[in-house]
Amino acid sequence: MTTHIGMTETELVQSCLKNDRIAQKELYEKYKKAMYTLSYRVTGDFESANDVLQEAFLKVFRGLPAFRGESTLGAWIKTIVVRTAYSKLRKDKQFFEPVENIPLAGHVDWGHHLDAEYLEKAILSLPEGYRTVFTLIEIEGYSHKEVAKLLTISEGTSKSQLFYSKKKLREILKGEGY
Amino acid sequence: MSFNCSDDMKEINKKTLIEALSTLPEYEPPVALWESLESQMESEEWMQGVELSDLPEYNPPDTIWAGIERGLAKGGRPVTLLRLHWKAAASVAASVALFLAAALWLNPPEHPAAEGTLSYSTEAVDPLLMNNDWDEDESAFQDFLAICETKKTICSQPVFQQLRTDLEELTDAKQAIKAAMGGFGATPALVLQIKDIELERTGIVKKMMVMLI
Repeated sequence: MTTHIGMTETELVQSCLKNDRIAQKELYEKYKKAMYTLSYRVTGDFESANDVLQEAFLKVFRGLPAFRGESTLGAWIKTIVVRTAYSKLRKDKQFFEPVENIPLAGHVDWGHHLDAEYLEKAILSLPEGYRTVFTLIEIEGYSHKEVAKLLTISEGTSKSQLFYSKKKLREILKGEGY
Repeated sequence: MSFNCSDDMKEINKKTLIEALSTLPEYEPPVALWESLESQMESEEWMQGVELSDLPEYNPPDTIWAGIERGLAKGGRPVTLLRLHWKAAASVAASVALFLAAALWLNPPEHPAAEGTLSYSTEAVDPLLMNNDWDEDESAFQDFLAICETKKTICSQPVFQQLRTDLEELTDAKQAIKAAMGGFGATPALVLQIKDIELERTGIVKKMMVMLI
């Protein structure tokens, strides 16, 4: 059996382009955890995360000939995962929470200790729009500009969704005693 | 709607949030997910590998053409070949047989065993089948029936009426056989049938004439 251990990412991509199933599996193995976790955080349930991950990796393997290396492979795959999850969630419904046209000023105090388990639950209980923007910016490290481009929304929407998501998150955590 | 105030949010103890976020759990997708992904890719690759020109061709069963032929014979517009007069059809068939025989004689197949064998036979055409005109006496029959109409007393007799009915039935039978000959060509069996009918018709007309004299 051919092994692809020790291959560079470029070599792995080249093998995937030849429909080398072992290379494709290796690529999947390399990114599955991060992408599955991201899918779960955006969709909020494992069943949807399964669908998203499968659909996204199919897009990855089909679209690999179009990957020009302008970003890292991981970043490119992540973009596909986010867009797949987003398009799955926004079907036939309002995705972003309407927010009042008021100045986004105020403060949030995160306290001195946050339990990861409670924080996870609190994030998952956020409305989808808040949760998506919060996940992409605070966990995945995207900028508002990148989120705006990724989700085809304005930067203002991204900022407002993040602002309200943090306020909401704090409220939920407060209810849990944090 | 434009917001420029996100930067105005003051986050106290942001470090707490960052630390907590860094300890959030990661999740493994179920093993079956790759299997499902793989099977979907395999089916797509299989579809990509299929060339339409590689698809097999199939021969319809012989019964299909037989059905078409039956349908054409029953009604609808028959194809040109079926409308050929049987003499012309016999002539064409004989020409084709001769042409094939000549072609095979001049260019015998190089590997007859590998190519399979072609057998053919020629059938002599009976001059009787070629030359009979079954409607030759039809005008004489029609003239006789016209005379009958003037002899009302005799024509109305039951015996005469029965002979007339028999004559009409035989005439219908003759027309049916002629129609079959037109569609599929004259065969010796059909020619014999039509000959018998003509003899019977002549016999009936003779009896009718005796009654009229």
